[in-house]
Amino acid sequence: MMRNMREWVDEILSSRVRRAFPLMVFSGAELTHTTIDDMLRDARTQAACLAALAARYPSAALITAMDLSVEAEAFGSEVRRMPNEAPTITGSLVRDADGADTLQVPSVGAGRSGIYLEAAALTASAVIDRPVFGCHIGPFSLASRLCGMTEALMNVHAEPETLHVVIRKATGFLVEYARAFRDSGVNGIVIAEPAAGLIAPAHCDEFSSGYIRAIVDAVQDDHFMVVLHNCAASGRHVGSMASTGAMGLHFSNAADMAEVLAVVPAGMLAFGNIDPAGVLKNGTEEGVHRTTTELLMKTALYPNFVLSSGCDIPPGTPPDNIDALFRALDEYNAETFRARNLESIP
Amino acid sequence: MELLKEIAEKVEAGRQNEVKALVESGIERGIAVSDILNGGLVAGMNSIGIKFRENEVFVPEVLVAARAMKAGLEIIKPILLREKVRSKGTIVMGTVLGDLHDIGKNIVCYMLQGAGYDVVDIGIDAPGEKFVQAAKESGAQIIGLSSLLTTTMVYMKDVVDALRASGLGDRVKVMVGGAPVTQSFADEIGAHGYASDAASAVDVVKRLLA
Amino acid sequence: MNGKERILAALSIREPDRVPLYIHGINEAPIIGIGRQITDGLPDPKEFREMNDQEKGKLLDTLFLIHEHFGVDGFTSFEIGHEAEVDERHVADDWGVVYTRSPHGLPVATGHPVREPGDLATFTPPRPNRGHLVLLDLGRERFKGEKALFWLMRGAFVRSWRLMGMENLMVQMFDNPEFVHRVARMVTDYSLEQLDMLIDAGLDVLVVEDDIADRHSPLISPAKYREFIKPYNMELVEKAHLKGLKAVTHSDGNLWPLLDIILETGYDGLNPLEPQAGMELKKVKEYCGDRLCLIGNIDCVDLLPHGSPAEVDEAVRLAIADAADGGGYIVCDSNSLHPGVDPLNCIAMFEAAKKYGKRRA
Repeated sequence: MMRNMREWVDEILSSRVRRAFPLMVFSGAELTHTTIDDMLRDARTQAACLAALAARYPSAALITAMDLSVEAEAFGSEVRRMPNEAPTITGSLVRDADGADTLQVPSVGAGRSGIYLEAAALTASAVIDRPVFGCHIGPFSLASRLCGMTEALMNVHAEPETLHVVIRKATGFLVEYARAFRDSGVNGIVIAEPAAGLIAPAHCDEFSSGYIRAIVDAVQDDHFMVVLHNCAASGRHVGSMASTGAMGLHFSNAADMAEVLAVVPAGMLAFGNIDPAGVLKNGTEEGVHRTTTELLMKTALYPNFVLSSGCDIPPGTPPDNIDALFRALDEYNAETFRARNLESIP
Repeated sequence: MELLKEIAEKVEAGRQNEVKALVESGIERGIAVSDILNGGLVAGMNSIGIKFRENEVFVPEVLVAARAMKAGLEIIKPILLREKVRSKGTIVMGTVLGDLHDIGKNIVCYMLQGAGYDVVDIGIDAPGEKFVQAAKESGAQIIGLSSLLTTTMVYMKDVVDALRASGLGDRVKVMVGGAPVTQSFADEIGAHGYASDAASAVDVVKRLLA
Repeated sequence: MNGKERILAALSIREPDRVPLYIHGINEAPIIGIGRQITDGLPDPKEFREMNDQEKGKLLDTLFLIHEHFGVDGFTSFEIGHEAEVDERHVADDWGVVYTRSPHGLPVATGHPVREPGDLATFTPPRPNRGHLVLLDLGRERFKGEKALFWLMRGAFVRSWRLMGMENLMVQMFDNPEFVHRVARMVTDYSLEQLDMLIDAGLDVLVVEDDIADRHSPLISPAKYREFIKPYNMELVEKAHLKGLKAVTHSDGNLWPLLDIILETGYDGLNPLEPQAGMELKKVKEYCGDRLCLIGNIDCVDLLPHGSPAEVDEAVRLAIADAADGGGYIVCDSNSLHPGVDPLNCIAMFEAAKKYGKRRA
């Protein structure tokens, strides 16, 4: 359903109640008793999983599957399927400058990208009580998958031109893919750039943010919101991430949310960052409750903070732990947030 | 004997051309080749071996001495064969499976050749069967195993076992050495001898062949 | 103090707030074994090159996590990407040296392109490649100045014998000393240029990694070491110092006959102090502990693979008692955390460093 996302952001900024938008998709497979592999290969199955999640949890928004192999697979990379996890890329498609030059940009719909667009469309029409975000990989991370991660990181210095050729082609595909998500009826996309946090902020500008800006300029408007997720980012990367113009920035548990929020522009939403594996999957309910409460208290002064998981919540995460996160949120909202006098924030 | 002493000194000093000249001179003068071998060449290597053990000289000095000794040995070898001078013994030397280090083993090979033994060097990364095969083919009395890593040392046991399984276990003795190897490890795996350095290796061989 | 300050204090022979802890080298298997105690999703032990990108990313992240979780104060980086696969068992580096792979540790150089003086006429040395510093870049971004950044750079001896073959190098020292000098000059020029890159990339400590001794003795005489190795490695140390870096040297084995020359070279620290080679902490400390920071000595041949955590704990306690007074000691193993070490023993070493390392009042 079409929705004014700037208003949605404004609502959050002026809200007296904290919201949560965990990156939660795989848990939907458990709710509907399907496998991850099925969910990633069939649009209806994926849409059903997401609808089940919407019914079960009071998240502020939904996101389609975060499968960061789809785009590389569309280019022709070899993929290894796992029954209960997202697939992984094996080998490297681009081995040298010639490989970069002859790399073909696929059309939208290649590989499994069509499945994700269909799942997005189905979910967008089925779930109307909250925004639905699509998801795709970021240009630097896609280039890393096409070249091999070590090679991409080395080429930042060794062969930057070759790397730029690949990133340019990656961006070409991603702009069209992002447009297709917008056409499918979802309210925005989360762009996941796990690799960009590994490199220095200056290189982040050159090899990632500049290209993401092109995607943001092509698709973001009042009704379509881009959220940029960077797994390894810290306060030092915020400037680069913010320069993309995305309406929201999403951080993993590698970041210190207080440090990050001090530098994120006030009008930009900042999402994060409960450790999905260490705390949500492997921790106790008590631990989840405590960590969530601590994070909410630490970020209390920032209207633009939205509670989330650091990354997508892994399969096998106990539903009770996810409930504990929402329970902690409710208790915090009831006792603490309303009690604070927001006008006194300098 | 003056000439033999001089040969020994030149071997020790690593002077291969002078060793060659002196050996030829000795042959011309009718000195027995076995005397040239033992009193000259072997004596020179023995001397450098002792200095090496005492840390007075180092690997490069041993290498050039070995080279000089070999130069002299090449000249008298055909004569030794003709006169059917019996070999003092044959040792198969190698670095065990998975281990690629060879300088220690090589020094032992040179010292053993320098002491007048025949050496079959099967190189590095050698599995048990390769040792056994070489022992069979050469009629060796001893197999010498080298390893530099604690993680490859364990393969020495495989060689002992392979030897036993092949039926050669009675005739062929095993000696071991290398940085992580100890006497108690040697005892544990049923080796007959252990040497902590190249010069001692020669003594161990002498003892095993006595 | 943060880790970097701690390491730099120790290397300056000043007492930090606690005795620093350092990992000089660690292979995939121990990263995974130790990592499994603090994270999950790690692949089964295998070589880095056999991992897919996701596994590589997880391994690197785990390596960083180990440093953070256990409070390791220094991070070691080294060249990556400089090797090209020749076949399943062999790789070649950018000099054309061929290495044979081994599952038991680092590949060993077995093919040597510069054997005779005539070979130099047709040999073109490579230039250092900035891209090969990727691990240093990743460490710098991850640790943000909280931990000291170390880099392993091979010294003149190792670079020379890799090119020439070890026995050949040794014999050429007698036959053709000028040839040996020309090769040492060539490799040192490369190292100096690479050091410029490392300095710009934010390196804190240069480790001149130059294995030159076995348990009994140095491989070459002090005289030959002084002639063919010392002057060249000293150029690296001097440049490092000029740019505000610290310099450490690494060599296994019995270094006593070379110790004076090592001291003359101006190093700030000596690693790894192999106990089986007579490099006893107490003795070395007595001899030159006022001028040289000692790094290592926790046995990785027997103790870390086969001992018990309690024995490891005691060994660290003793090492600190013997060497840490007044600063000038960094807890580290006696060569590397190789595939044979027991992960629980490594953790015992990390924890003992904290337990016993607090500054004496």
